[in-house]
Amino acid sequence: MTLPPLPLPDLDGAPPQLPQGGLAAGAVHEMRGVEGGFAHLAFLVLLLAQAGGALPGEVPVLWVSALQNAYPPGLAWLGLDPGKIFFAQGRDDAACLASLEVGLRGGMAGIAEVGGLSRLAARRLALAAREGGGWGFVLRHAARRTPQDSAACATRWFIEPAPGGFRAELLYAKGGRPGVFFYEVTEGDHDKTPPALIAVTEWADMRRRAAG
Amino acid sequence: MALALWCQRYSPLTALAPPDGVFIDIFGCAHLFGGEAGLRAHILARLPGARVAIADTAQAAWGLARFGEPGSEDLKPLPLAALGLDDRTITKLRRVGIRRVGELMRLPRAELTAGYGPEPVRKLAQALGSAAESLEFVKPPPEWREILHFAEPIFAPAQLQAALAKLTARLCPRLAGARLGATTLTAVFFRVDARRPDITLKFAAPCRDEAQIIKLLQEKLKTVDPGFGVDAVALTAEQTETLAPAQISLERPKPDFSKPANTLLNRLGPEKIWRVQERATHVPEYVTRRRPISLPPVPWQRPNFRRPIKLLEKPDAISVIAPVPDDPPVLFSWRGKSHRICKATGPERIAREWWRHEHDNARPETEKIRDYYAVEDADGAKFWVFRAGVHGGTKPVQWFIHGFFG
Repeated sequence: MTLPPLPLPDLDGAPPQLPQGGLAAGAVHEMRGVEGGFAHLAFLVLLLAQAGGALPGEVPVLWVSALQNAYPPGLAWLGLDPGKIFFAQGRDDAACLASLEVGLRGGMAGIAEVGGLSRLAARRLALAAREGGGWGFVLRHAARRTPQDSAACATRWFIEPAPGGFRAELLYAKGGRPGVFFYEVTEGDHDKTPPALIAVTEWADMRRRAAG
Repeated sequence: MALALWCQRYSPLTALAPPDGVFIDIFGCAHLFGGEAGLRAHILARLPGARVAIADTAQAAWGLARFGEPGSEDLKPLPLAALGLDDRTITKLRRVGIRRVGELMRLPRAELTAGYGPEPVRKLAQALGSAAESLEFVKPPPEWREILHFAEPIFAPAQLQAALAKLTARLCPRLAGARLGATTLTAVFFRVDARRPDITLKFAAPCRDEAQIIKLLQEKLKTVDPGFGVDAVALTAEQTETLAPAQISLERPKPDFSKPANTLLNRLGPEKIWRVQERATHVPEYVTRRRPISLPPVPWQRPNFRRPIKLLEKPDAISVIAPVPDDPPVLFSWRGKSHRICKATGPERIAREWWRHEHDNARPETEKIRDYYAVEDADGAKFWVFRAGVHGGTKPVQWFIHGFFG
């Protein structure tokens, strides 16, 4: 079973310059964020939630972390059903990454929240994801550049919060062009509509929307 | 019942002795435990507080265990109740001065039958072994157990692996024949020094896939210390569930994710991987209930109000500049970093569930009120903070951070 790429919202046909037009399945994507913030996680949850209905079959999501403090109601608010997620807790980074590898090899989609990601670990995850055909996401609190950066992950992002949304910097993309993209998050309402990600062309645009 | 089955380690023949006893037929078995005294010590070491009596007949053992001195085999000083007679007969016999089994034994049997019915004589005969007594022995449930004995003790990992593979290959077809799959599987290694290390596998879904079971067993084999060698290896499916035979389908097969789930379950342990289920409560920290991954998922209702994606295990105190009485903060500092608030929504008031607690006059419910705000700082980072208590209450209000929106 081949899964389509995870779509990224685009505006006026100007999505981030990715060859598949989204986050490719069968590959690992790394998302980084600033220490103490969880913008990268919220960004990913919104992406998964938005793709949720469009994904064929029921690909279960495995979520591993050494400190498992994801809050299910918050995921449900963003439109991702936490009932379908396997939450797992690893002793340390190595155990979390090994668990993610098992899940990816078995065809699941996987999220791991870790501190570090060595080149070897990234390579192993990439191979497992290619074998299983699901998406792997490694979430870290890290700087834009680290000495262990490798080309094993298909994309590498640095996500920062911005007023009313996110500033997503594509640091590396296999076969694609890096760049900076802005996304706005719509306010969800209390009954049906979960918040949604909308691409906006530039910062100023976003500022204006946030103000108005 | 469980006790009777447990006692089958002493003898294959065990029977229930209601309400709370077990008969063990140890004929020809006691020498395995160092004679009758050794057997008694063995049982007492494992079941402290148990009353153990060994006698030639079941009725005598029953009476001795319940009414006798520990270790004694003499029936004579026991009260009549030790024969299992009913209360009316005991009262009648006591009226003529017969209180002990020994006194009953001295009476002529014919007169006893004439005066008190056949029961006392029959019970007495059963206790003394001159009349037959039927016991209904407990039958063990069908055993999903395979055992391999070795002429020479083995200890090389490759040999142990081969033994496990052989046992799995024997057990799985049997399970398939009964349309069952294992949900708990135990491999026990009988070491020459009488230790018994074991491996337990848990499965997210019933499983009888040989390759998968062998792989999981081998992964855990390194936790087993074979010591000076292993005499025998046993593989038991402790818990089984029905599993329909696999069918070849023309449609695209439904993807099966039980394999990675099983691997993770056994690597991390059953407490370390879970699904979540909603609990009907308003208190944010109690909303989530963990549920084993072997159970099917339960969809989660989308909440009516905004909730963070990360929740601190315990709310953390923050220092805040906020207008009184009930405005969101304009500035708060947490862990040495201050955040200027640009946007805030709220309050959402969440009170303690008073109906679950004893009422305490010293701590009124207003102390337990939390007013939650979703706040966004100048960088766009969003937090879930709350004010505990109300202004003008018995205690000054306090602010806490409880979660992160991103």
